Amino acid sequence: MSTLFREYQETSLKSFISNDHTLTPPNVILLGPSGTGKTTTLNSILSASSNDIVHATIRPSELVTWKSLIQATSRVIQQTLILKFPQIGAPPALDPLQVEDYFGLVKDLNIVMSHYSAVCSTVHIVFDGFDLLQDIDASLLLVFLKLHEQISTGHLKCVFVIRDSYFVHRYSNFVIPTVVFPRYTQQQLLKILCISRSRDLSSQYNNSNTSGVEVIENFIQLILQSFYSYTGSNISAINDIIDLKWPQYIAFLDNETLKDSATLYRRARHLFTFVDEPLNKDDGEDQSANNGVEHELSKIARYILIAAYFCSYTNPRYDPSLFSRKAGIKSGRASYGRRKQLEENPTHRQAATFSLERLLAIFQAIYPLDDSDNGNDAKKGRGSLEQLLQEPYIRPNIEVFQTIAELYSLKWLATSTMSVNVDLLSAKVRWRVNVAWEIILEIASSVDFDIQQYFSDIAI
Amino acid sequence: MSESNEEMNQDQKKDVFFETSPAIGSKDGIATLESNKRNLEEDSLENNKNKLSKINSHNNSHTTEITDSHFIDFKIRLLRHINQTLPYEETKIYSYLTETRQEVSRILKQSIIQKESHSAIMVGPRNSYKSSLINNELRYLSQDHSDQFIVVRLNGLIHSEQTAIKSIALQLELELKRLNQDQTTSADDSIDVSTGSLTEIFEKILKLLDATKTHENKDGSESAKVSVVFVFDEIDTFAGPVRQTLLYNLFDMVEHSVVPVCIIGTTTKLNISEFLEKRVRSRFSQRVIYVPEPNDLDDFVIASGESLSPMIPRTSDDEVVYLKKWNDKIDILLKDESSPLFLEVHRNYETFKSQTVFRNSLLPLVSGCSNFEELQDAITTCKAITNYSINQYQNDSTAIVQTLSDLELVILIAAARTILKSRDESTNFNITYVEYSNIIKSLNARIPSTNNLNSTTDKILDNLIKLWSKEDVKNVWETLQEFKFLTEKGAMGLRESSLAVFYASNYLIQTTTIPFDLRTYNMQITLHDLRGVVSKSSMFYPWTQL
Repeated sequence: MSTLFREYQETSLKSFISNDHTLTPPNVILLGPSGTGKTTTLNSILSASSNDIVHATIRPSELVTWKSLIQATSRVIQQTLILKFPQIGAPPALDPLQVEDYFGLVKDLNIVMSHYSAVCSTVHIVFDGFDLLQDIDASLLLVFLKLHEQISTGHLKCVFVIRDSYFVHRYSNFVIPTVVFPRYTQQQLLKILCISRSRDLSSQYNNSNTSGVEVIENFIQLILQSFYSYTGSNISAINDIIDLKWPQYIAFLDNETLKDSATLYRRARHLFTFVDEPLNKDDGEDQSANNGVEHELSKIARYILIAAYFCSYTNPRYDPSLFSRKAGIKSGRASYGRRKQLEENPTHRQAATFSLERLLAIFQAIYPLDDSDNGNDAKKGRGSLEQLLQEPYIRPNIEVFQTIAELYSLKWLATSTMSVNVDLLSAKVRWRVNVAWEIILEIASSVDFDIQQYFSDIAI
Repeated sequence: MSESNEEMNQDQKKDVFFETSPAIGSKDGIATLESNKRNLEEDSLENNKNKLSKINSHNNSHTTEITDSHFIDFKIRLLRHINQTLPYEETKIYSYLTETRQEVSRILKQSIIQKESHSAIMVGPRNSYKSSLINNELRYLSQDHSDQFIVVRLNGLIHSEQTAIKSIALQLELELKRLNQDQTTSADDSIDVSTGSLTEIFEKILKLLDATKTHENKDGSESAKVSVVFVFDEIDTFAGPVRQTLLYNLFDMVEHSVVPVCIIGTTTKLNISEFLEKRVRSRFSQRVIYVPEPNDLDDFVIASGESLSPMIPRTSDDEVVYLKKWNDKIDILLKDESSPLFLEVHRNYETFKSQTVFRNSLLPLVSGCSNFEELQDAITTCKAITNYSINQYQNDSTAIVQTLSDLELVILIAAARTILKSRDESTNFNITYVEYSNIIKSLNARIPSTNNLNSTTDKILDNLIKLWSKEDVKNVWETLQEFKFLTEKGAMGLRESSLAVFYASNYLIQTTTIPFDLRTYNMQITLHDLRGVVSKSSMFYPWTQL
């Protein structure tokens, strides 16, 4: 049983991993991006019955710090040996949680391995995804590379499964034997998927017709052709898509389409044009979930966000022309002249900073007045100078400041300094909006505010 | 359930297996010790050999009826030679290291046999055989003088100054137990060194080292005098900026202790003596041994020959025939400057100049062969060595660019283009997506569309290039980050020490609060690089320049 397209890796790994410690170097690295068959190949070698290799597997991605990694190492090796050689009797009880530093690990390993020295001289530790440890640092690998020198009884071999080639390059002067797993090509993927998936796909599709294999291969090929560019050669991503699409695809299968694959494709075509991953479904029921974020915000909060967006993305030079009510009298471009067309859409860049004053001013300008007040004004007479004077702007009252504080704690608004103890009301503090264009569009449309027109002549 | 059953089965198999080869556990007894371990190794060589030949014969039984057990012996010897795990008499030290070896040997002999105190530091790059020289000499000395010295091994990467003291105590305790076993004195109480506070432990160590002598005097035999050999790997980490207490005390011991003490440090830092504090430096013997590298190609070729050809053991065995044949073959190949082997060695000399790289690539070559003819073929063609080096390059950024899918590639190109256009050499997802959609749009504009006038019903013949939605491209964007083509601006990368990670995790990084689309990224590959890598037949090749 060998892994497809991994013959070279398998044979060379066999020469680096062996039960006899004198035949192999102390450390070996398996290097390759995710979904390239590293773990599969390694496991097939380690578990092959012909070579009785004692091995313990540790997954650093499940651990966070180096301390929990060494504790896990101590624990897993003890457990593996206890399970493997029950006839020897349990070693002196060692509490893995007492392993507080690397020396503690060395001490424990020495005790455990000398206990089992009669039956087992070589232990392989497999670190599956060493670079996935969250708090990884540069000195950690060095420790494990040198660990074998400190074990006085028995022999320790470390097998590192690593994804990031830059991580390995860092240690290239140690010249650790490395077996590289390149990404699969599209053709290789097709073969692998046809072999690995045909059984469980056909079990889902229980049709008595004979051409099941053909249908499945056809389907996998279609999936690959449509989504290979999306997933790249990440085999697990493709498997996910297959799992997602297959039940929908077999719904189109009937006696007619079974023979005519072109018709089948035409009917099921929409399956192959959209990824439809559950996260970005555009079904009706999910619509509300999509909009959930801004529904939680109050009206004031939404307008504050819009105002903040203006502050971050429009030049203050144009503020009077954009937001002053006087500008409305001289309508059109004549009031402010042409704004410079920018080379690129400013909303694509990171937000600029602004002062709180400007935010409040713009907020005041765009926040709509109450309907009842509008009615009163209409009675007073439009266009009169009095109306301009008496216009009931919203004042920056306690609610407004509270909302700003709330938005700040939600991280929708941010200050330029990251320190926690910042005086938010200080004039020195610069603010920025922390919302992308797509979201601000949604927010604006939820309050019927046409934000696009403000950007129409500067954005492309 | 099924898993545990399997395990059970395996266990049973294991039992059976070990019953059939009972020799394995026979010898070791209470072996906890370095020298015992060595003995054990050499004794168990025979057993392992048997075991391996069993396995091999089992494997090959279905292909070839007759397995050449002499060849298998020879192959194991060769593999051990390449891994440098042969016993002392059969270990060959590279000839360019002879002088260094003599110097190390002299120091160790002086302190172990003549009971003098010494200190020295070996300086050399990684994999320059510093430790293996020391270990080799210690192995030699342990053959005749195993009861006359104690080895304490410390590694600066593993031990901090505090744990080093504990480790010294523990190792001393174990070794002294070993030495005192046959004497059956009631010394066990005095040996309890490794308990108590750090200062207590250290005092005990010092006292113990002083006491060993007086204790031995009871016997009246001079040979019982025990010298202590400290082997310090990465000694520079103990020569940190703070106080260097450990080194001070140990070097002081060299000067004043009654017990002969030998300290050998190894380091990769050329200026190691500058690391040492004044009071430490004054106690250090100033003996720095620089480990040489092969001078020129000739030296290197000789060394390569030495890594390939094991010594012929005195005990004549039938495998010797193969050994002789093999060594002659290597000789001939390395003298012929057009042979693939010589070319590989030459290439290694020009690039890595590392015997370790060479030996790593030899392992797959040797272990893949099942008979001598095959092995001879393999070394003549050197295909396995070439394959090994080809494999090493399959994860470089250029190789990865070539495996990218269409979408991944065009996003990468788009990002590189925006970087080149931008003033601060940074980009973000938004800008890249706009660039990407521009590329696709202008590509599509050139394609004569077969079905114009938006006949949405039958787009099956659509030959336009698909414009992926922004949501979908986010996935690809993350893939590119995974390959480190894109790195977040201001990202620190891998921290040096666990302490640095700890501090960093306590501060909020500004970038974590920026929305996904707007995070700024730098690229680790330029548009110019891409132009060199992307194949000219690719549809996106024209976009690899502005």
